Amino acid sequence: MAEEAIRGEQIIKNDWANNAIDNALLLDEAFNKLKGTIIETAKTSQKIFPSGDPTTIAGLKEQNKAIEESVKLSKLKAQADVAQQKAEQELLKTQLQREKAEQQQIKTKEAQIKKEQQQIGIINNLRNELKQVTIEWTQTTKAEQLNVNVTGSLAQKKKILTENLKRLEEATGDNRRSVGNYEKSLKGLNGILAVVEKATGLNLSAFKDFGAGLKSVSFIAKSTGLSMQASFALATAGISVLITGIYLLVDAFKESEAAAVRQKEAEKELQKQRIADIEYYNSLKELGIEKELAIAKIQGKSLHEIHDLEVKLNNEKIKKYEDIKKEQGYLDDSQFQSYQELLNNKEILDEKYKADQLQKNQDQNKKLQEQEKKNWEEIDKIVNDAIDAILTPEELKKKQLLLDENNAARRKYYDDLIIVTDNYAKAVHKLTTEYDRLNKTKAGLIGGESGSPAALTDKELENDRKKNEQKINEAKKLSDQLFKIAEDRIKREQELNKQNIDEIDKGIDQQLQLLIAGQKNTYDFMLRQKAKALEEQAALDKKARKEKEAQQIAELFLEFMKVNAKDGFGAAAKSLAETLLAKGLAGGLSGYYEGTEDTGSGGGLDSKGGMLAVLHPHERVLTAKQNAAIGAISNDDLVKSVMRYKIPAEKNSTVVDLQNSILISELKELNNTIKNKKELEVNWNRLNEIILTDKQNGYSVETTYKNSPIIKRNAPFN
Amino acid sequence: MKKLFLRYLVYLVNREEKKLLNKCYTSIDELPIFYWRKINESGNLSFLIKSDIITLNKKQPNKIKQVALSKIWDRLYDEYILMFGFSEDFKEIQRKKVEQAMWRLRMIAENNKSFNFFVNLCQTELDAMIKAQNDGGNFYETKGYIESILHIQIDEMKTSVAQFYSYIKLAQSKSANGRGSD
Repeated sequence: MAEEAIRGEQIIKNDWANNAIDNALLLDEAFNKLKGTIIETAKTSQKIFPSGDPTTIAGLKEQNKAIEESVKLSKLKAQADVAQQKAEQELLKTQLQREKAEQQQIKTKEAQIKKEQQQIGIINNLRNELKQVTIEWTQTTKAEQLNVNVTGSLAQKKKILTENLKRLEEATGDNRRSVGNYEKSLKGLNGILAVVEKATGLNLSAFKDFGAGLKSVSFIAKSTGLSMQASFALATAGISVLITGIYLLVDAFKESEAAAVRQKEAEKELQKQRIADIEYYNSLKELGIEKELAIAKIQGKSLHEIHDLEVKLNNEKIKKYEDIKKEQGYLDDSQFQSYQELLNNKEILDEKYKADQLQKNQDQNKKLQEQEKKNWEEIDKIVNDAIDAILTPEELKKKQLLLDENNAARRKYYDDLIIVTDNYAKAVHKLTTEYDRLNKTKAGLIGGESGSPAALTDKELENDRKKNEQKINEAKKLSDQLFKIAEDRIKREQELNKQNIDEIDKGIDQQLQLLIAGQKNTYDFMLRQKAKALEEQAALDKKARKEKEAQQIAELFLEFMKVNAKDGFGAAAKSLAETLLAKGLAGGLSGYYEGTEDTGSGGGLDSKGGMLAVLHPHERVLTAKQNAAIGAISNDDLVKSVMRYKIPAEKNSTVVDLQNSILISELKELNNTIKNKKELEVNWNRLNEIILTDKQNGYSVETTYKNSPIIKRNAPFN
Repeated sequence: MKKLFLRYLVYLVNREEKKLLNKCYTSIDELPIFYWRKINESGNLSFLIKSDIITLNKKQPNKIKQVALSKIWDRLYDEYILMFGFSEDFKEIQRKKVEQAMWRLRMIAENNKSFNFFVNLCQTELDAMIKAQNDGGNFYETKGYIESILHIQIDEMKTSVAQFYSYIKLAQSKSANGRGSD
C-alpha cells in the first residue's frame, strides 16, 4: 500500500539505474545489428564460396582465403555472442540493483510514515488528556484550588503532559507550545543574527545581548509575579535601543507560529493525499492493472502518460468484464437448450436402455451356446453307445479303428454344424429356456406349493400354448431361412466348381491336341487339376449332406417341440430325448443321397454284416461280388464306360482316331529323334584322300584331308 | 598517401622481380629437385636464386625480395600443377577444409550452434588425413623407390622437378603393371 503511495509521490528517482539500463539496451541493440550483419555476410559467403576443386595456385589461394574468412567470421560471431551475453548479464544486474534500492527506499519511507502516525496518535492522546485535565482544573472550586492535595496532583499531571507534548511537538516541528521559552528561541536567533551580520556586514552585537537581557526579564517576572511587560520595563528602563529588538523578536515569533500552522496544514493535506492515493491504488488493484501502472512508473513515464495508460487499462478491463458477462449469458442459453434437448431425447435414452438389455441377452445366449455344444457332445455319446450296443465285439474293434480314422473329420463336422446353426441354436435355446421356466412354474402350481400364486386357468393355458406354437413357428421359419442360406451357398460353390471342371475339361482337350501334334503341352498338369477339382466336388457334396442332416435334426426337434408343446410339461426335455432317439436310429441307417461306390465294413444286423440303409426311388444296388468285378472305379466312370459301350460304331470311331493320332505323334517324335542323330561317314576319293562327312539335322558337312604333293606310284588309279 | 606508398611498393617489387628473373629458376624444367625440396621444407624462397655452389642453408630474403620471389614461386607452382595436377590426398584434404568452412558458414547463417558438431567432426577428420599424409614417407624414400623400380641413379642437383615427378609417374605405372620387380 505504502509502496504505491510512495511511487505516486514520485519519491523514487533511480535515474542512475534508468540510464544504465538504457545504455545496456542500446548496447544489446548494437550487438543484434552486428550479429545480423555477420549472419548476412555468412549467407553471402555461402552463395559465392568457391567449393570446386582448384586447378591453379590462384584458385587454391582464393579457396584458402574464403576458408580463412569463414574462420574469422565464426570467431567474430562467437565474440559477439559472448559480449552480448555479458551485456545482458550487466543489464540484469542493474535491474536487480534498482529493484533492491527501490525496496530499500520503500521500507525506509514506510518506517517513517509509521513513526509519524504513531507520534501523531500519541500527541493527540496527550492533547486530549491535557484538555481533560484543564477542564477538571477549571471545574474545581476556589476552596479546592487552595487545597494542595487536590490541585497539586492535577498541576503535576498537567506539567508532565505539557512537557511531553512540547517534546513531541518539537520533534514534529511544532513550536507553538514553546512560545514562552525565549532563552531557547534566542539561541536560534543569535545564530540567525550571525548569518545576517556576515551577509550584510552590519554590527548586530547589541541584538545578541538580548539573550542575557531577556533571561533577566524572565527571572524578574517569575520571582516578582509581575507581568512580563512590567518586568521588561523594569529590566530595560532607560535602554531604548532594545525596544526595536523586542518588536523584531515579536515579529519573529509570530512568523514562527504562522510557519508551524502552515506546516501542519501542509502535513494534513499530504496525509489526506496519501489516503486518497492508497484508496485509488487499492481500487486499481481490484481492477488488476496496478502492475502495468507500476511498470510504467518504474520505466520513468510521465504522469500524463500514466494517466492515459490507466484510462486505457480501465476501459479494457470494463470491456473484458462485459464480454465475460455476455459470454456467460450465451453459456446459460446454450445450457438451457441442451437441457431441453435432453428432455426431448428421452426416447433415445429409452432406446439405449433397450440396447443394453439386448446386449445382456446376447451374453446370455453365448453361454447357452456353450451349453449347446456340450449337449451335442452328449448326443454323440448316446448315439455311439446305442451303436455299440448293437455291434459285436469284433465289429466294435473295427468301428473303433474307423472312428479313430475319422475322428478329425468328425470334429470338423460338428464345428461346422455349430457354426451354421449358430443363430438357430440361440433361438432354440431361448425357447427351450423359456418353456422350461414356464413348465416349472406350472408344475409348481399344480403341485400346490404353499405361498405360490394361484393356478392358471384353461384359457390362460390355451393362450400360452398358442404363444408357444407361434414362437416355434417363428423359430422354424428362422431355421428354414438359415438352412436355405447355407444350402444356397453350397449350391453356388458346387456350381462354381462344376464350371471349373468344365473349363479344365476344355483345357484337357486343347492340351491333348497339342500332345497329338507333338508340341509342348501341359496335359498331365491339367489332368491333375481335374482330379483336384473332383475331390473338391466330393467334399462339397459331403458338406451338403451334412447340412441336410443337420436341417433334418433341427426340423425333427421342432416338430417334437410342436407336439409336446400341446402337453406343456417338460416339452424341451421330451423333444430333445425324442430327437436323440430319432438320431440314434438314423445313425444306424446309412443314407446314400447320391449313391456310393462302397458301403464300407457293414453292420451287425445279420451274420453277413448287414445294415440298414435308406434308399430312394429308381436306384441300383449291386452285390458285393458284382462290385468286386467292376473294381475300383467311380460311379461316374462306370457310367461313362457304359455310355461309351452304348455309343454306335461311327461315333466311337472318334476314340479310335484319337488313339491313332497319339500313335502318329509318337512316331513323328521318333522320326525326329532319328533325323537329329549325329552321323559320321568316312570315305576316300580318287586321290586317296580321306573325306569325313558329318550329318546332323539334315545337313551334311564334308571335310577332305589332302595328301602330301608327292604322288604315290602305287596308287590304285595309276 | 597510402595509395602512393602502395604504388611505390608495387614498383619496388616489380623492379626486384625483373632483377631476379635472370638470377632465378623460372621453370620446373630447370629447378633441381633438391631446391624444390628445400623450399617446401623450409619455406625459404631464397633457394630459387641460382648459385654456383650447393647451398644447404640460406638467409631469409627481405620483404620486398620475398614478395618478388613468391610471385616467381607461384608461377613455378602453377606450372607444376598444370603438368602433374594436385595429388589426390591434397585434393581430399582441401575438400574436407571446404566442407568444414561450409558447415561453419551454415552455423552462422542459420544461427544454429548444433552445426558446431560437424565443424569439429571435419576437424578431426582433417587431422587424421594430414597425419596420414605426413606418415606417407619422406623424399629419400620416394627417391629410393624410383631408383629401385626404374634402375636409375637420381642426382638431386641434376634432376629437375619435372623429371623427378615424371619418374614417379613412370615408376607408379610400372609398379601397377607388375613389372617393377624385374
